[in-house]
Amino acid sequence: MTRMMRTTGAAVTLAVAALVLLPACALRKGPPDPAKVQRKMNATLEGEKALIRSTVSNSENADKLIALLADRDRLVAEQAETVGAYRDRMKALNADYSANRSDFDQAVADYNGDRMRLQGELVALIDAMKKETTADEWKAVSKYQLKKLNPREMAYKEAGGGS
Amino acid sequence: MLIALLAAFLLGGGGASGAILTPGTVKEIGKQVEAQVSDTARAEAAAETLAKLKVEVKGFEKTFAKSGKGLTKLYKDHGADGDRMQGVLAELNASWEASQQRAIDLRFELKESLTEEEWAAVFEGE
Repeated sequence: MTRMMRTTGAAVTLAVAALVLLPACALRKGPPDPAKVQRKMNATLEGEKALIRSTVSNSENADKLIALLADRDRLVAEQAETVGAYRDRMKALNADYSANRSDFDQAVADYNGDRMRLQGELVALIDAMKKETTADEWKAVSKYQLKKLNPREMAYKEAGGGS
Repeated sequence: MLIALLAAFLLGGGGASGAILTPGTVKEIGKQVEAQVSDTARAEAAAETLAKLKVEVKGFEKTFAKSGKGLTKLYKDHGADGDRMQGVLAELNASWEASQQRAIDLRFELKESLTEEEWAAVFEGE
């Protein structure tokens, strides 16, 4: 097989593996500089903490909210690991011409169990964060989070992006 | 951020629609199948399968976009509790499950149009 065909084959493998929903990290057009991404994320996360300290008037609430960010980061890392494992499993299944439907169904079921648990934890975490703020404080904090925090970059290291 | 993350849980990804599979990637699969499958009847059958897959992908993209807007609104809303967010997620999750099963169905349908050698040639390279 020529180099071109191998490249195309790789792209197609990714695409069909996405039938079973691979993480988007795998489709980065070019490998970003991990150190640069990490520096950017560190700065953004520090900015988030600074914003919370300057926005949430009750310092005890601010401390609790910042502590919750650590839980969030743990969930992000766990999510990336879960998705990566699912991606690898589905990629292997898809490439296997003789793979059975039940093999796919089991992989989906396993993944569903993990992600539903993590999803529940995330929703609970969002609730907990809101409770540490007033409506106006949350408006500022959530605006920053939605605008500045990029899940693809946060999950980058754990998902093995760029490797 | 967390909204996108929640969507990623549902989709295993985070692209424009939250998934890697896009109409463009389906098109790319079609090109590769066309190059590898010389039998006209089987090539046409594969093309039909991929056309169905494209419809599926586009349909889910719309569902995803709609849910994303709803989740973002709830995230911003200090008064919205987790139950409301779980409600939106449950709907999206059901759509994802259905789309997932449909995509797997079509994966097996596509397989019926390709020999083992052609399949290996199309998907080799990873």
